[in-house]
Amino acid sequence: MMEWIVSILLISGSLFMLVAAIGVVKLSDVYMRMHAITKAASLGAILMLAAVLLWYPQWIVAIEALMVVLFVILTAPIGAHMLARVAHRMKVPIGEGYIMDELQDAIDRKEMDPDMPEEEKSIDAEKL
Amino acid sequence: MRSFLYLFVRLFRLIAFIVYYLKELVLSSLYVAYDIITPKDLMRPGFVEVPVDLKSETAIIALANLISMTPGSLTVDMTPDKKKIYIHAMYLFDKEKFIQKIKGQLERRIQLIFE
Amino acid sequence: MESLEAYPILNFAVYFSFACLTVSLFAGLYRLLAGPSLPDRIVVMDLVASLVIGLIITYIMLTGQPVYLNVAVIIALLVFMGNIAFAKYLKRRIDL
Repeated sequence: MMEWIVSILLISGSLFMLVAAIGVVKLSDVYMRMHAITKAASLGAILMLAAVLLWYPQWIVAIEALMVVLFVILTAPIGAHMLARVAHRMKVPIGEGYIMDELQDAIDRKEMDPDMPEEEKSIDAEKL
Repeated sequence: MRSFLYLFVRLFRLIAFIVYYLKELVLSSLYVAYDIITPKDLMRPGFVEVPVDLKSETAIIALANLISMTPGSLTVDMTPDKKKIYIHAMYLFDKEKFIQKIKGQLERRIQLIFE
Repeated sequence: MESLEAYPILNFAVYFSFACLTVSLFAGLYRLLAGPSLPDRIVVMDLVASLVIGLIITYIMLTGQPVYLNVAVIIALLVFMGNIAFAKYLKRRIDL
């Protein structure tokens, strides 16, 4: 009985990862690729970890699987957020079909500060 | 005794919140997966500005993470005074409804737990 | 635990997962080579990290050694660091 549950978890997890990879190839710009990765790929990893936990019901496996799940859930959105922010500042071209870009409007209105603090900037300039 | 009861209520809300988070993660993954597999494009992307009423930084971080995990939305940027966040949304058919969902469901839940 | 041969369905699931993950790795490789901008290529790193975690888990099922889960923990941590480092690096490159 247990092997069926574990098999279904493994197969569905790897299918989610496959979907994320197809999305990375198919979707039209950086931000939408990040959508695919932060959601589908992390869910795939969580499902596969659940499979391992069910197949080896030991404490050490449970703790390590829980650690991986926590790291993935907590850090994937933060990494995607930082990359998306930098990508927008780099003016990476957006795909077609966009209906609004209020962030660009705010930058144009000078509400956002696109620069780093002054002292950090001078340190970098000396180093290079 | 009273504070103990309050702590218990908060713990219960936190557990309910984690369950809600996992449910949103699964639903959003299924939705994105469906949209990737089917060749027809349902997408209507855009960047939206959403006002935030939360005060503490922990709550704002939790909100940003939760937004990134809900269907078709990704936190991109934030004004320096922490009053507005900018979200990249994938399915932006109705802007008012989208903002209403973010503020009504996600922000209210986080307010109950962290503030 | 016992070997996989006792459970044909699990055997199939493990090899199916290997196939899916390998195809996904090649898809990531395509985006890495073809991505028009630098953030496109960095995004692939996140995907490959998830895929490697999946590969390690499938390998655990194949060999019956749950010790390898340590590797998954380390990768989950390292890739977050890598993401932040890349974001910081790109931010410097814009400002200078």
